Amino acid sequence: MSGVADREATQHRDRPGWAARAGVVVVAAVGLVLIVALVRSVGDGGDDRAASPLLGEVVPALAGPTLDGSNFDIDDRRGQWVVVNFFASWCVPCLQEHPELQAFVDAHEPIGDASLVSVLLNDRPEDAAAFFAEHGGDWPVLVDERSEAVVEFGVTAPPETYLVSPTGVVAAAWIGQVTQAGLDAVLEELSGSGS
Amino acid sequence: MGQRLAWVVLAVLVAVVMVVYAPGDGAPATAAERSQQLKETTLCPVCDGQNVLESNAPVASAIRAQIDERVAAGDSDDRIRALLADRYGDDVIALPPASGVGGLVWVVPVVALVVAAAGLALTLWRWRVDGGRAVSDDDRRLVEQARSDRP
Repeated sequence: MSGVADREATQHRDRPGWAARAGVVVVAAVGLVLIVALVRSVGDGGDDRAASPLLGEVVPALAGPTLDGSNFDIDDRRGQWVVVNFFASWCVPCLQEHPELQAFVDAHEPIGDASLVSVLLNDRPEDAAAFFAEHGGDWPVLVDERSEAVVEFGVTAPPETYLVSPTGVVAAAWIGQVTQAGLDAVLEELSGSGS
Repeated sequence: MGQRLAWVVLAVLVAVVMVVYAPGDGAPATAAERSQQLKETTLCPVCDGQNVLESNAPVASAIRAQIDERVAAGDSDDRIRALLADRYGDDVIALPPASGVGGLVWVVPVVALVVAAAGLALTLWRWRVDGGRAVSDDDRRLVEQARSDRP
């Protein structure tokens, strides 16, 4: 009889208490949240639309010399959507994003409804020219020598992308990589809303 | 006479210290000094507490270039700070606001200095008053008694 009681007491001691079980549940929940956050941060390949004080505002002045020696002025693009992409040749996500931008230009240039301009962020023009020579792309690349556009758009790190409406209003912003599909989806959504 | 001289010396010392360490009106004399001060008081938006003068981040380099450009173009410090705060948020401005609760940062040290100086002056005055009191006969008797009680 005593042996049975001792065995029950031992089993009772060995069984984890409610605090231990709650601890395991909490740790598991926190781990799950972290895993989901990690997967979401690296697994979707970009198209993270961002808040910007410029949304709904008239696009800041964006004009100046380009890599090929001509001049660009975003005001000359009124009447079509303009994708403004801040990039640097040393930026790996920019390199990964480049084919998507090329595909976007290939799709929209024949139609003439949207165009793309890249703006250098802390990059040497000769390095950027070499980048385009190697990876393709013949859209205008604004040098932005004094970083006026970078600060006017509030850019923090490349790549960042802004979509400017045909009326010259900043309609969307992305921090990080974009894809052609992501740009087209927003373009379609905003075109439908009459922006 | 000696006490009066001490007060005069103290007053002169305080005046000299205040003149030497006075912050002045804070207005830099040249464009280069203005740029320097603006860069020192603008935080890099992607760094951890570094100002744009110290940071090597690309955006810090861009902000430095724009500060130089806008100072050279004649923009005021307030206008430049307003642009940076609008684009990157108020947190990049490493200066407390001149009004509101943040303005206490400017007022409290001055008030504390005045209160401390007043307290010091009051204490010194009390010491002087107490120090001038004459020794009474009772005091003398007490001292004599204490001396005679010593073994």
